[in-house]
Amino acid sequence: MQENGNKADDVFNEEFLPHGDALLTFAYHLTYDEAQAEDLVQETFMKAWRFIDSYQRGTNAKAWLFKILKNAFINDYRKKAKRPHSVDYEDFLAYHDSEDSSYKDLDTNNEVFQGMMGDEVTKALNDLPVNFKTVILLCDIEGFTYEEMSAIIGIRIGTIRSRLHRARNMLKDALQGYAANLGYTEKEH
Amino acid sequence: MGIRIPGRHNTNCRCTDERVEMALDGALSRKEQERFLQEVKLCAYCSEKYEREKSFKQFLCNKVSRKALSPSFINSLKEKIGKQPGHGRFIN
Ligand SMILES: [Zn+2]
Repeated sequence: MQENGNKADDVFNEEFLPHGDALLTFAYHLTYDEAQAEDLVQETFMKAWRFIDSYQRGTNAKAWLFKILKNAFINDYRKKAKRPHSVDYEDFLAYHDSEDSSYKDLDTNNEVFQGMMGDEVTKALNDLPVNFKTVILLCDIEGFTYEEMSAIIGIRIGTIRSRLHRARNMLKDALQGYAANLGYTEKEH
Repeated sequence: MGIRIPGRHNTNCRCTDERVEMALDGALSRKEQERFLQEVKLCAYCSEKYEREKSFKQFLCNKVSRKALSPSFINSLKEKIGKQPGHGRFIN
């Protein structure tokens, strides 16, 4: 038992803990609240520890941990979102996730954004609906592959691709609005 | 700022907006990626789109704030885990 315990400690220290900062960054952007983000990361590590025997050493610990965190967040989110008269979020997503929708490019000039502060960009990202900011965080910030994202979120790769495309367009649109309001540029007509 | 006039899409070009994003996200095979990078150079529209999407991805990566766990958080986490049954005492 002690030997098993030591092995589990090694896995935890060497394969799980190094992803702590990335998990906290993800949790922070999901919740936009430092205390809630820390709680979520703690819950993730506690769960990972409890199920450490089902983790195969040397496999994709980062994706496994992100999946645990994302599920914990969704569970909390669903509990809080169960309000009468609220928009049915799943319906909204299903509508916006259609894979066969044409690939429209939001033609933005990135130079407009370059002067923006990190806080402003973070705010624009955090204002996106949760499932859209999730794909941006996983792909653009954490560098997960489409396959890994598909496993973490539990949706098809085709849906990952279209959701990512829409999310980027939504963010560009939001950033353009911010840039205009903050006086970095004049709003285009 | 003015109105940006995009380059023209070469009629022989097989790149699509979707493929541009896949190339940037590392979702093409090595062979496909090599072919894409050759093809994209020949099309003003696609090379412009590729550069624009690349710089947007880089911009996000640079600007979105990152967080780091504090040593006190890690210590308290290890303490809590050490109290969990099943795997013996947690060794640092
Ligand atoms: Zn082209």
